[in-house]
Amino acid sequence: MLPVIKNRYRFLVGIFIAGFLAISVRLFYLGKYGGIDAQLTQQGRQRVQTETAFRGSIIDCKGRCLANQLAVYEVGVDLTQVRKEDGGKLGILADILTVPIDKLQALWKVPSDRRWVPLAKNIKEPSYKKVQALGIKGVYGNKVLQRCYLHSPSLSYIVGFLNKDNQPVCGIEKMMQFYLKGQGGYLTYEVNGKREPLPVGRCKQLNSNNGCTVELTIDDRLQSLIEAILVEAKEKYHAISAQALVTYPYTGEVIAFVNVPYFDSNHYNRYPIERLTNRSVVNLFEPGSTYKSITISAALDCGAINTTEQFDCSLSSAFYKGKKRNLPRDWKPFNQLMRVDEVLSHSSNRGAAQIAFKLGEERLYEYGRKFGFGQSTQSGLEGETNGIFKPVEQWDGLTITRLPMGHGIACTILQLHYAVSAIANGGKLMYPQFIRRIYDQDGDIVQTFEPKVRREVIKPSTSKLMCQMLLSDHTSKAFIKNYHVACKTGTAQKIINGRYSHSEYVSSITGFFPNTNPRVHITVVLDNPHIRVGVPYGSVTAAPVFRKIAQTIIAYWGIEPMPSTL
Amino acid sequence: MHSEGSGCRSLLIACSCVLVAYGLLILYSAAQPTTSAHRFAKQCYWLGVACLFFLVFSKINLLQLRAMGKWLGWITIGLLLLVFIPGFGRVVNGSRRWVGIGSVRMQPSELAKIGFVLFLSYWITKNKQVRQNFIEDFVRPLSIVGFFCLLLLLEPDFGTALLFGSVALLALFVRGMPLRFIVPAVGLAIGLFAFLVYLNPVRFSRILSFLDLENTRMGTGYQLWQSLVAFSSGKWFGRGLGLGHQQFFFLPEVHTDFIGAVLAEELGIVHVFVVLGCFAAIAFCGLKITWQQDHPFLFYTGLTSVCFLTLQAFINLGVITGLLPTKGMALPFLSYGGSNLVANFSLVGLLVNLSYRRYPPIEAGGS
Repeated sequence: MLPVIKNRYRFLVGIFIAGFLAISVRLFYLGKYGGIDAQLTQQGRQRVQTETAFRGSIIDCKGRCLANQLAVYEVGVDLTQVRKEDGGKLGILADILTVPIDKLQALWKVPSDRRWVPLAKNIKEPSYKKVQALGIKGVYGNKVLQRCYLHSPSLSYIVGFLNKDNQPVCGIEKMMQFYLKGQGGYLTYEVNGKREPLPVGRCKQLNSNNGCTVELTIDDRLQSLIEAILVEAKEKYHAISAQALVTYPYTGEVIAFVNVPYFDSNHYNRYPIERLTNRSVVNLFEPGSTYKSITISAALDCGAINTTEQFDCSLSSAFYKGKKRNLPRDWKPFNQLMRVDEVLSHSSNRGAAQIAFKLGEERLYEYGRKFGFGQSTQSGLEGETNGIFKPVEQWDGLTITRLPMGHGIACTILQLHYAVSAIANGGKLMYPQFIRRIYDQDGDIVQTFEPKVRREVIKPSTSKLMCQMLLSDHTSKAFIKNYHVACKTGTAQKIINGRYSHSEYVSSITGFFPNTNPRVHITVVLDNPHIRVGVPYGSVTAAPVFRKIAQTIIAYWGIEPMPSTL
Repeated sequence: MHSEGSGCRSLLIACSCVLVAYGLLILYSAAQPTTSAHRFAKQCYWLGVACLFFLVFSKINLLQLRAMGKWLGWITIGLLLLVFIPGFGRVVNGSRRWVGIGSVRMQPSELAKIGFVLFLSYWITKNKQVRQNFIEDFVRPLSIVGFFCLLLLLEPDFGTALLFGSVALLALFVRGMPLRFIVPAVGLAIGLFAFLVYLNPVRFSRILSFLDLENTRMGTGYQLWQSLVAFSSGKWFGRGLGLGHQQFFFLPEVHTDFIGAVLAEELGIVHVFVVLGCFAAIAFCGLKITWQQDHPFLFYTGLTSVCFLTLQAFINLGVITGLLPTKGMALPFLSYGGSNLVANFSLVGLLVNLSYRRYPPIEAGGS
């Protein structure tokens, strides 16, 4: 071989050696220092997909849907995708979305790199299908779950609502948030280079659980019927507000709970904030004469008086604990001796005060507490107040004569109602109950709520006695023939600027029927009703409303009349 | 005489087998689940064909082949022209590199390597002496080599053209082409190369991206970036067979060009070193066998065979480790592809053939 070839061959071998060395060094470097952060790059391939749980529905006792989730679409356009040739379809799109066509045409005319321009919100499924069918490139929608309330609007205070962030604000929505919200799911996975999920990557999955369905004790149909009656009554008496509460006396389950005026929880933000407060649990009023039923059942229960005992209702003052006390005036002068039942039926303030003398301050207070005054009913509704019921030490000299007729005490309609329910049902104070059952997404019952007795307040015999005494006669405006309505009306002067007003009243009535084993208990409160002449007594304003409600329930439930067996 | 070449021969064969084993292993474990078994099977069939070629080329009398003379060149050109026959050539990814009958596809440019090795060795040893003539020793050989390269460029197959050209130049260099021709020629070649690269913006940006990886990793540097991610994620000992993630459409061409990166991720850089060692062993055994040849034709046959094998490995490993700009080049023995396997085993067969040293030495004017 020629020397030149030998040299050049050696040179070639040298090149090869250099090549292998270079690659070795590079490999060593990659092994030792890693070159780049592979972990970071591979972390970026993790994807998390969340799945929102459906919020549970709220249904009434007959299974009517009160609140559920509605899928709506937020339609917008990706301007980088739009094509000029879709211009002809914009008219139809504008019609479906109810947006001005000029706006759409302007968007389609000017090229832009904006990826998302919202066009319309709250587009329902059928309309969105139409939009999709148009096939305009770049137009698409995002699915949003929206809470939708279908109940009669007066039930808003009970059902509550979700705010714009889908957080419950009040009512059942908040109370039952734990059950309603459900559990959102997620899926983490790795993607391959085409951004498709990897079958072999690390992945974690948690399925979403839809929220539970909450069944209320409320009957929405009855609620709306009563709502109509109250709206009419509010108009008729020019009242500020009207409230009605209908429950089963034995279980405390609420059948209807009407507040007028009300708000529509689908559009809660269109109302002043005061409108959103639940007056039934926040607003206090003096119960007035309705409280006499409490006073008298207390006196009878502890044996301070008996049914045959008579009281002189003509007295303007009487001695109590060695001190002469002025007795309150009656709505009309009674110049006679009255038995307890007469005191109650004529609603004599003086008689009630004298009964309280027999009962004494301590027991008057003690029974008031036992009936639940001055304490929350623990209904669970937002903002429920305790009411005002001062302990004996804070009483002044007048209290012993005024409290028996329901002055100097303030309560909510709930407190009054459940106290009287205790008289009706044989002496048990019940907890208010709104929720009957909770179902999971498969329809299986998760939890059943049983009526809960708060405490026994009076003896069953006393209760029976009271039910007889409270029976209304045909002179009452609450009277319904053959249905044995037991009721007590009340009229309280409102306190305006620290004094009892002579022009503003709160009229109330609470009653149940039939008076033995009552099936339903109704309380109506009218705030500041007006009539053409005279004082808007409860017996004049609230009683007719009560009767209308009672008749509605009789018709709705088909309660048979019970001719008197006496 | 036999014992002298037998060590090299055994090493050569052993290394080739190790490399093929790596290739099949990675092919089976790493390629996409749906296609891996299919590809593995296909590669096994081709391995059979390749063994056949290996046997033929290790036993054939090379000097008889040499006697075919110019026909070797015509056959090679014929092979390269196959792809241009309408209906026979197959266009894949915009390149006419394949011919197919039914479901069998092959790349004639791979088989052309064997023809080219033999023809080039024949042609540059046709004349006994280097006459230092510009036309005879520079223009003519370069024109002929250039013609082969042109055919490859027309496919277009830039990488293979470069490979053919480089191998030919190395052979001509060793042959003794005067440096005063070579230096300007290499300069010209680099200039031409640069011009071609400049004309094609994709290639231009590929060249640039390999130098500035961080900024181009989402674009033109993507392939190399993913390859380096594979290396970094595998580290020395790898993530384990079948546990690599880069092959899930992050790395392009995992079964061919970037099979080395998958190897690095799954088995670790240690095994890449083993592969590199095998290539080095093949290269140096080949060079040693070549060195022992007396006959110029056999010498250049050995030289060009070694160059083909080694340069392919260099380019491929250089690309996947980021030493060289990204260029599609199969890794011999490992990459999926029947024609490539056949060509490489044929080249090894030629080297084995030479190692027997059964040809009578020629007396007169041996170069």
